[in-house]
Amino acid sequence: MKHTEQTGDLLSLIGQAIDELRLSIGKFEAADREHGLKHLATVIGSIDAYLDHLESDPLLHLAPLPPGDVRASLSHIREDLDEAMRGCAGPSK
Amino acid sequence: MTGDRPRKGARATGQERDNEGLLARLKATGLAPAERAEIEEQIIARNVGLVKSIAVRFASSGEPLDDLIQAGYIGLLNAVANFDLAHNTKFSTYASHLIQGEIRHYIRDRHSTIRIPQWVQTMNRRIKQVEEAHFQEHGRPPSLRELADALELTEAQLAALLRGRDAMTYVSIDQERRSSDPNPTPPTLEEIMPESPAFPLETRMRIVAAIDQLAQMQQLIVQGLFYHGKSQSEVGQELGISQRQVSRIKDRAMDELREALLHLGSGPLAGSESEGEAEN
Repeated sequence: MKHTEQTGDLLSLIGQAIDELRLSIGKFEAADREHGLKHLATVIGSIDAYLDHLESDPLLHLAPLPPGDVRASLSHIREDLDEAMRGCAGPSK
Repeated sequence: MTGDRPRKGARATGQERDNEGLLARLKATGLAPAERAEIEEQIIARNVGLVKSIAVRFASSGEPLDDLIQAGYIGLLNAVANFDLAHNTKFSTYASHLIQGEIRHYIRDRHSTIRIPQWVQTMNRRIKQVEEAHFQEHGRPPSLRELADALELTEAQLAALLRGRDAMTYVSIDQERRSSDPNPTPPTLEEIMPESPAFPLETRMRIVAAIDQLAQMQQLIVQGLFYHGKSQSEVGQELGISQRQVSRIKDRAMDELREALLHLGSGPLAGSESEGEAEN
């Protein structure tokens, strides 16, 4: 898949993901599990989307970072977030 | 643990006294190190049978008997180091208690997934970073509240995490600590991670750890772009896009980064290595 400016680069992904994760913490703290989970799901979805075109991200070439390492790190983060979602996915109060 | 096995030749001799007698000699002041070691070995040799007999009782745990015996030896060593003759207790009674405790801990460690999760390791590293950064800036370690604020945790959660961190150290074979507390009881997982149905601590830690890992990646990118990067035209050629497109992508990424830096000063990015690097 050829990279376009619309598909997003790693720094954009990271910036948005950090924002979303912070928002999720805020929601969970406010006992708003539904939205907390939604923010987590957004991050997981973004990571998945990015992984689909990771090799063509110009930033990785500019930096340059080994795509395999980045993929492994993001996959690890994704798994962690998936676990986090499962940990909060019980019945609503 | 193998180093704790008693050496051959340390068998009790006919003129040897009982455990308590040997311990009385051992606790006497002015003994030469070699003499102390000799007495310790005699006590251990006398009690090898005790260790084995206790270890056998735990054979149904599924752990190899040799490993259980090794764990038992640690209990025995602790008993030798800590037995107090002033208490009118038989050494074998005291040692049995510690031997059993060590074997139980060993089995529990093996069976209770007390493997340190990745997110705990990440959090421990973050705590260390924040502590160091705070110390450099203020000349003192952070208070619990300051540390909690920097990590976006409540004080109670941070306290639980710190207890957990201590527990992980504690269950490892830390001779110095064990000599002062021969039979430490590691906290349960519930103590390490008190459950809150609305927002379990483990979930929070996972999210914070993810933020931290992302921040580290951010740092790597910035370092790469500034110090090791390829030229925009090189990358354009590799990817089959124009240098102008590459430039736009990089500029936009830098904008994102600038925005992210505006959030610094609080939260998991605060005080992290990425801060200084990114500003460069």
